[in-house]
Amino acid sequence: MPECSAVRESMPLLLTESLDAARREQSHEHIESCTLCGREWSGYKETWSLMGELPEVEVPARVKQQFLQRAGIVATPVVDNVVPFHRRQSFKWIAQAAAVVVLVGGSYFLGDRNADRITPQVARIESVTPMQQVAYKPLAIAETRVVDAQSISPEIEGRPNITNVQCVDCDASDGEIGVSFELTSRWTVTGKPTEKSMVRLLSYMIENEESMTPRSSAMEWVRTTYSDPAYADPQIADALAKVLRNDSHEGVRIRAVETLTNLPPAVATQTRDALIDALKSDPNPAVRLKAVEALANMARSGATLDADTVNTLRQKSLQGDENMYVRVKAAEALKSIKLQ
Amino acid sequence: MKIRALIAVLLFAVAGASVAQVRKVVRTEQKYAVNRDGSFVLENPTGNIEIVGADIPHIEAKIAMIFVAADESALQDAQRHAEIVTGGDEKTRRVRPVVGPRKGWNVTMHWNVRVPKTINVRVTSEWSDRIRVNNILGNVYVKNFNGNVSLDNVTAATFAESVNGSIIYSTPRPRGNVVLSTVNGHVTASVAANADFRWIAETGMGDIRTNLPARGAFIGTTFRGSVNAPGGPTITTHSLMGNIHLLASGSSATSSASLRSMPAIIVTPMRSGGSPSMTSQASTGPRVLRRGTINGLFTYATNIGDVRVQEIRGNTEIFTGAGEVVLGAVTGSASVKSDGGPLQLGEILGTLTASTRAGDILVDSTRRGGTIETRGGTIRLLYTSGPTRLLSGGGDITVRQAAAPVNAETASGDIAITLDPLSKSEKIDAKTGKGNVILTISPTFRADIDATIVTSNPEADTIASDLPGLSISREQVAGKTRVRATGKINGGGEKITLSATDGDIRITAGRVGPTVVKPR
Repeated sequence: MPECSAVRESMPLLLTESLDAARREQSHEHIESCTLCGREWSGYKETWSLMGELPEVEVPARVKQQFLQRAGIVATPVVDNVVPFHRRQSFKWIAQAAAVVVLVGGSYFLGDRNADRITPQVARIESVTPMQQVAYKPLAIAETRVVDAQSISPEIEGRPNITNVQCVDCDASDGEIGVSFELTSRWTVTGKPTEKSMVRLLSYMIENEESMTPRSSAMEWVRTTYSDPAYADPQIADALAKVLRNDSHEGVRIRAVETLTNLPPAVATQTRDALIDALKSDPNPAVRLKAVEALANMARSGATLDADTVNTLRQKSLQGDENMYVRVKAAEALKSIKLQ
Repeated sequence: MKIRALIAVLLFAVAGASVAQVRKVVRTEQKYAVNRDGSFVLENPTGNIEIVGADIPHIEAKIAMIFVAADESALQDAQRHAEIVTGGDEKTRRVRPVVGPRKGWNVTMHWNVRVPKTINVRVTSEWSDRIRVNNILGNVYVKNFNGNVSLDNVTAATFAESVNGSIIYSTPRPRGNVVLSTVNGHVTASVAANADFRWIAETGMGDIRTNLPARGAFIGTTFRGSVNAPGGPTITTHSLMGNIHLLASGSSATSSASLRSMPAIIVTPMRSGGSPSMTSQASTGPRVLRRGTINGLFTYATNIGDVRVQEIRGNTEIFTGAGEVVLGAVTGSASVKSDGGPLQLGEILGTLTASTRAGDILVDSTRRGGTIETRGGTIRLLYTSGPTRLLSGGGDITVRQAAAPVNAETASGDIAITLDPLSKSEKIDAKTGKGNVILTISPTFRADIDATIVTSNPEADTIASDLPGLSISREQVAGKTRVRATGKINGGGEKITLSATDGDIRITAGRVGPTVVKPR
């Protein structure tokens, strides 16, 4: 039996005629004498002949390579210069997209075909109702204010200073209460210099002695901003004229008239009366001097001065007890005047 | 994958190249004899330079020559053809590398030099990461193309120029004029907070910033002004594309303010271009006397007329019956009087007496103080370092930086006085018939305060101080309330008397900022 197993092992080689002559002869002798090995050999030969009839299929290179590597026949090649090929999924997506299009398009077609048809009609206005005016009231800076609790956010930002609190309930039957207090909070209003609310706010501040400290510095800031012709505003000029007439602080009056001198003549012209009053009667020579300079500026810019103004300037230039420099400046202004 | 491969190839190439190059550092030390008042001239085309002044009798130089050659033979060739040549004499010692024709090699020389600190130093370079000159009492000249220049404690005349580098100058008290100029870099100059000097700053594309009390005006893109007392050396800082910083020593650039974005004081422009002795009849005004620079005593009087003089090198006395007076600078004492008209005065190195019967007065600086008076108008004094009295018949009084006693009084107007930040204690009197008094002092200022307000509205008019130590009392006087605050701040010092009627008194701790004057 040991001979049988040795012969069966060598059968593949016998089949491919790879055995040497001596072993081949020995193996054939054993197959002819042994029934079992004879059958085995017949099976081998049958299979072999069948394989010859099968078509030859090329082994994929990758499989072949892996096989040879595992078999240790070839070394592992360096593959870092090879970009692995991944099968693209585009056809799959195209097919899916096409399916979606077919489904959606089909549904629409079917729905549209079965829907009720509305007959087109000509549109006509039957009646017109005036639009309700929406009540929008911009926030005003006020001395006192009454507000509804619903219009106030429940959030209190920071720690505002609330003093002098009084609880009031004017009508006990209405189920509402009231609380009154003084609130100190810092406001910063931003906007263009030409915005009406900004102009009004600044005008109010200029006119009120207590609102700005030191007022001279604030006036300087107003002068810098509003001497630009693009921002010049008659309301600011009016506020400055009021300061020039009424303020007892001479430094502030000097700043006011200085600012008026720097305003564009078109805006400053309306303050002419205030300038004439200052020129006539302000006790401070610097105010009178700047008032006459402002009038001279107006005259130089081509503004027409009325007879009153001209008379005041003439009187001033001839006034013996007036400062000589003020008189000289009045004379200069008269030189450039264009009479009405 | 291709990119990885490319990087690998490049790295390989670089590595290969570096392996191929030969690098050698040769260190040498040399000594050069020089007089204590001599000069050291170093012309080093490539390499860093550090020069330090010390108490030594001669020049000691440590030089590191770095050779880079393609191979050994090129390296030997380099060492044969690169040498340091010493020339000149003990009055002017010149040192420069001499490098022969370069065939596959290069050499960079880094210098570390100690010199007698009293000598003059002149350095020129084309390519260096940095040039640093430190602790030199003589004149310093540094010229570089690429790389930063750092100058520390160089007190005499200094000139530094770079094209693509920044310049950093740090000297507490410059004694000579300083010029720092770069094209594409920044210029930063640091000096002591109380140093006196003129400052010229120009930049085309950058900003000009300072945290010192500079005062001056812009003429185009150039700021011309002074810092602290008038006179002193001129520091010129110029950068075409970069920023210019002038800082107090030890302070940060973040505390600086931009001069361009600063609110300006508007003044009548100083007209120039008049012939030296021209008296003309202006087309729309009185006679105008225009002068450029006048040497010696200048006396002038006119019944009606303006006076405009750019500079008087001596004392001056000017009177006009009606007209404005504009003076650029006076090196002596100045007496300017107008019976009506504004006065605009620049740097007055002597004592100043200025008065007008009507009009504003603007004074840039008065080194020895004086008296400034107007019957009606605003008084603005930007700097004083001498006892100064300011009087206005009605109008505000502002002193931007006082390093001396000040007495200010106005019939009606605000008074604002800012003390020099380095003043420890000064006598101050400020009184207004109607208006506010605002005193700004440093947090360490010492004083005995006596502040009083008389008001008909005690709720609105108050006394407030940032510094503690004041006790307040109230009393009724002739239907008005008198509020008085007395006490010592920081332990007490000179007497400060502040008085206001119908206004506030504020004592605030702050510092002097820059002032920009803008011609109308």
